[in-house]
Formats: sequence, structure tokens, C-alpha cells
Amino acid sequence: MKILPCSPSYVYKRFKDILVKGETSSVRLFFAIISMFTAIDMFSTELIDHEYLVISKLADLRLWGTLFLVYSIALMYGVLTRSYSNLLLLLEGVNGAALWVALAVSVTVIDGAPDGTMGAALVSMWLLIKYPTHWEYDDES
Amino acid sequence: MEDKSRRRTDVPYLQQLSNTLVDGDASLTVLLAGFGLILWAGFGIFMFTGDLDAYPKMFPFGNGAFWATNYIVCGIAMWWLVAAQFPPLGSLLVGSWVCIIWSWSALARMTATATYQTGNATSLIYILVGLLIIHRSARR
Repeated sequence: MKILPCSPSYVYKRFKDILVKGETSSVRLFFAIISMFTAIDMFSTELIDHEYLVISKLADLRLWGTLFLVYSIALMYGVLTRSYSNLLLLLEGVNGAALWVALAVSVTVIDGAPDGTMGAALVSMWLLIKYPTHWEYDDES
Repeated sequence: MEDKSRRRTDVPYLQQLSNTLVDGDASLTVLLAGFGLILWAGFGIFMFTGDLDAYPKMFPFGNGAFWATNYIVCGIAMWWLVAAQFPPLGSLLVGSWVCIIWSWSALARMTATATYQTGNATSLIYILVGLLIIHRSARR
């Protein structure tokens, strides 16, 4: 174990290994939690928060909340059962990336600049790219 | 073409949850959490978002530059932890730092701007990441 990994090549190789081959379970679990919160907020909010202003014009906020809820449940299911399938790829990969990108674009349009949701959108897209059925390996290999 | 669809039900759900949180590899999570902090601070600095203006109002000290620097240093510290494979003392310090800052942020947001949901959820996630980092120090 290196306490001070001073070599740039070592750091590059380690980060690349983690990004390409790293286990995604805990990231997906955290995304399940944050998406559950987002879904609850979309269902419970009486005054439309400015973050949701643009997406609420595209569709009812309850529909967005339902999609976030489905995404969260799919993630939980995928992590807790270690299941990989094309249906889950659609529900947790494509659906998740689309939802977070939509929310990030909504916030960017309203605020005039991106915020933390853009980070979530990028990570959800990375999770989609890394989904095991795409790259023909999984977390256990 | 090989069918990659499969299901593993031989491990109970709670055991799998424990495996993921307690025994799983947190490197990717911490790496991405650090990336998120640096990205967020970068947006705040270069694109003049309202986030950095809101921070001095929530906390009793420090201006926007102070909090942007705090986030960047914290993000780099997370990357260092990942590169160094979670050294015990470093994990304890960085994890505690993350937990304290984000617990404070969550409380400040909830009392000041209760409707800013994703901020609260983000705070909760970073508290969990902080606890995860602290746990990695205890495991060693």
C-alpha cells in the first residue's frame, strides 16, 4: 500500500482501473437513496420548487416523481439481488440517465449555470455506460 | 451471443446490503464524490452560480471563496484517499471533515431553505459517504 502515491502514472492507472472496472454497487445504492428523496419531494411539494420549473412544464410533476421512484426501486433491486438484465438496463440505466440529465438541464436553464445535479447527471451516464451487459463483464469478474 | 441476464438470490437482501456498504469497495463512490465536489466548486467559481452566494448566508463565517476552496481541497483529499487506498488516519480525518461540513450544511439548509430539496438530499449522501470513509479507516 502506498501512503503517498506520488507517481502520476500510478495515480492514473489506479483511477482508470477504478473508473473502468470498479464495483458500482455502492454508487448505485446512493443514487437509489437520492432518487427516492427526489421522488418524495416531487410528490409532496405544493409550491413547485424553481428547480422543477422547466420539467414541470414538460410533464406533470407526479409523473416525474413516479419515474424517479421506479428508477430508485430498480436500482435497489439490482444492487440487492445482483441482477443484470436488459429490463434493468432500461429502468436503471437509460431511465436514470435521462431523468438526471433532464433535471440538470432544467436547473441549468433556470439558474443560467449548472449545479450539483449536473454531477449526478454525468455519474448516471457513466453508470449507464458501465452497465455490465454493455461491456460484457460484471462486478464479480 | 452469451446471455448476460442473471439473478442471484442465494444471498439474503440484508446480507447483500451489508456486503455492499460494509465490505464492498468504496473506491468508485469516493472518487465520484470527490469529482462532484470539485465540479460543483468549479461551476460556482467560473459560472457564478447562486450556490456560492448562498453559502455565506447559511454559515456564520467564510465567504464564497472560502467554501469553494473548502470543497476543492475536500474533493482532492477524497481522490488522495482513493489513490492511497484509504490510509487509516487520513480516512478518519477526511471522513470526519466531510461528515461535519455536510451535517452542518444539511441543518443550515433545512432551517433556512426547506424547499431546496436536492441540496438536502446531496447533504445526506455526502454524510453517508463521510461515514463510509470513516468506516474504511476503522476496518484497517
